[in-house]
Amino acid sequence: MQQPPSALKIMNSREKKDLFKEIKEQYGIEKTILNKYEYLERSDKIWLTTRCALSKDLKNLRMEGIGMLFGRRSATLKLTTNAVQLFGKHATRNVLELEEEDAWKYMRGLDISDLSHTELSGYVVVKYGDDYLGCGLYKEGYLKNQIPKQRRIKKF
Amino acid sequence: MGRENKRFLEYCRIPLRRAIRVNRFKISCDECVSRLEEEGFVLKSIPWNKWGFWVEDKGDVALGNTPEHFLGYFYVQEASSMIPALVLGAKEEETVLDVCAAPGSKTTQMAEMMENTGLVVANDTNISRIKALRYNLDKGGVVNTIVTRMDGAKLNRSGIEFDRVLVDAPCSCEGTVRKDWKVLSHWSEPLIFNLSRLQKHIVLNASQCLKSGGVLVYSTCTLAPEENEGVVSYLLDKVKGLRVEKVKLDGLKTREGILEWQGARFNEDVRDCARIYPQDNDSEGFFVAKIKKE
Repeated sequence: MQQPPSALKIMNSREKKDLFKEIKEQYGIEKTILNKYEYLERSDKIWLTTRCALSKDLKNLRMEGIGMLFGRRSATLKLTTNAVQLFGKHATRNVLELEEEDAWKYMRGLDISDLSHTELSGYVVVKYGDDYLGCGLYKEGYLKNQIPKQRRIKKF
Repeated sequence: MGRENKRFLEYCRIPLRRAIRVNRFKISCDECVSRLEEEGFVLKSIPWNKWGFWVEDKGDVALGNTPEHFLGYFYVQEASSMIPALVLGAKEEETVLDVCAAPGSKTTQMAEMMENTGLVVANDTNISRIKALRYNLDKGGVVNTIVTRMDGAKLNRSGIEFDRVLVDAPCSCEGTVRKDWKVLSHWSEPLIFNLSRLQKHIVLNASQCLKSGGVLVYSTCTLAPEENEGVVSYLLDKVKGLRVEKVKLDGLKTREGILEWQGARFNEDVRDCARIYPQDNDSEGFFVAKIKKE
């Protein structure tokens, strides 16, 4: 596999194994969903792309981006809004389901309070019905919105 | 165009119908359509793209403020702008170059056709347009892309050989007049001349990136022959081993490329290029050429 010409580092098999384990433990997403992609990291950010992309000689490309931003590491792994919208349906753990009114608020970028999911804490996959809205930070009944400003629904 | 001139001008005055392309990574066509219909939108299939629909607003909610838009279930894309990617026909595990990719409507469409496999090198030269491109790729759930900011001349020295290349070139946008009359205020003969020179530079370099047996699609949203047949003719005369293939899509009415314009005679093969007039499919004006490398 070729090395991309930037500070991006391609995860080796051991690092990928650790990542899949972390995702399985936190969100319940199976390795089989994720292991067809390759992963790259820089500081706390993780991207995913195809094996084909990394098989090319990239040294002569002036790269502005590769694949999709997948998540960020903090105390635990936070998936991006776009990653949740793509892979959220495979999550079986730390999934928080909102009622319709709260789902609308969440898509507008608002925090949600007075929830009662006592079993949850930390980053969660937020869903409404069959729609996976994005990632959220949940603590003691309060869901802090993590949808980027430009992705939010602005008006009704 | 002779007698048809009147119809052409009539259609140019009719506002363009808005169109969307359903994102097959995230939702089925039927589900997306039924959800939008429930919200009061009226959808009509675009004959040449089974994932494309014309959308008419009926309710109070704008299309861009629906949950389906937030969730990336569809991409707002003009119906004729869906044609180049369909003609290029990218397949799974192929390596594809999108030379003028931003803001990403055709890149996302190709990534979907490729089932998010292989590689699309999505290139543009303008940094603010590249930001929009990256945003749209991420929102669409596209993972098989590398975004680059390079001049065409450098791209062909990258050492990567591509199965398919799309050149959706910057143009005078005459064909978009139904969307915005202001395009006409920028129109001038020197503009067409300069764009034609730029387009020739881009397509010539892009053709060098193509592997043997590969396919290049050249498209614009203008009807100016200098920017269309003139560019393809230049390429065919300059590079040996290229031939134009006929553009055929079910449900799309096209016209042949023109062979002569203002005293200039083009390469005979440009006859197989496709001109798309607004009155033929109730769309924007468009031009597409499919070029195969031997």
